[in-house]
Amino acid sequence: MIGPVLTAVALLLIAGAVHVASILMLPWFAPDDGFHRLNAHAQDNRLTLVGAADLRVSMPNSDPNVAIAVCRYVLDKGPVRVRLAPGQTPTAIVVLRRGAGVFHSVSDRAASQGILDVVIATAEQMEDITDQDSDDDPVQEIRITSPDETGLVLIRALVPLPSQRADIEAGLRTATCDAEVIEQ
Amino acid sequence: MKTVLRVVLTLLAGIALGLGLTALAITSPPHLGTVNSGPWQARMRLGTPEADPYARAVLAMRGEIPMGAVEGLSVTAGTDSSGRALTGQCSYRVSGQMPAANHWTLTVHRRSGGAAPPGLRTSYTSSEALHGENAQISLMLSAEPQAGNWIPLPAGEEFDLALRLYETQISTSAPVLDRLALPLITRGDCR
Repeated sequence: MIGPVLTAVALLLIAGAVHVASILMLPWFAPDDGFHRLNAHAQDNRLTLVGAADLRVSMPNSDPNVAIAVCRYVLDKGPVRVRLAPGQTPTAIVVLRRGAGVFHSVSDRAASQGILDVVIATAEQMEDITDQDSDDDPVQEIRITSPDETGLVLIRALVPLPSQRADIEAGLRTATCDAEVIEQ
Repeated sequence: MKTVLRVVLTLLAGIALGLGLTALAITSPPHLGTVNSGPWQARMRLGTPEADPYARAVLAMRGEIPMGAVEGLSVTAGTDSSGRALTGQCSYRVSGQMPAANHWTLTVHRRSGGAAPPGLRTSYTSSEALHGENAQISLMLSAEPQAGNWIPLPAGEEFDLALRLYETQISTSAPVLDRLALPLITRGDCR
């Protein structure tokens, strides 16, 4: 009698462990998740505009009424600065980690003097940056500490009317995503 | 020998059951961390590092990047207001008041995950849609052309609706969705 009960308990425990482990690991191993789909369009420390046709095919579950630009930040040589002059429609900078999804997002409402200025750095680089801060020069930029040396920056702007797409995409083309050197 | 066989079979059955549960959780995600209002559902903290593991797994399989917490709120519906699955074999009217937001978009997403043919409208934005009195909205979804605000449906395919609210004060970190007035999804004729 104990045999079948033990077997059933073991079966449920194994099933539970496999279920929990596979749910947790799925975002890391899914070959076609949003991160990988965007990553296919991205270049290291350089913004790339993803056209509406590419967006429709590669990310069919996205809002088709957005214009997006993507950049793969690589922090091995220094922090990366993302600068954008948001237009009149809702625009956000979304920072993504592989396997963990969105880990930070900043909207155009955080723009200072019409510029959304975001610095992404490792914890070590961030310490060097903050060491150089002075009370006379208030920090204007938004600083994001990345747990990984690489990830994706997605700039997403709503396109309320199709006739506005060209202008909004032109605005995104002027945005930058550049590696910086911390002056010692 | 019999014991070894039982252990191996239990192990294999446990793995199969666990993976089966995972597949089920992806196709029919549990209502863990979700807020519902009629047919509409929002997943809490989706565009944040605090998103629940089921939501992350579903997003990974759908190849989707959620709206960041600061961008707004996305709610989805897989059924009409009577609880019947949304299908391109039927026509639907989405009507009522949209929640307070500077902009909204309503999009038809094929449940198969496939892309819509080029040039085919799959969505409306708040700037494109014709509004009625008191900012009431009425959108028709059907495979056959309709007058007014019309989104063509993929004939015979099941689909989901996504209502994305941009620049809204409504947050997925607070369970307020059940108190929100969201549009009705009313089924019309079916083929």
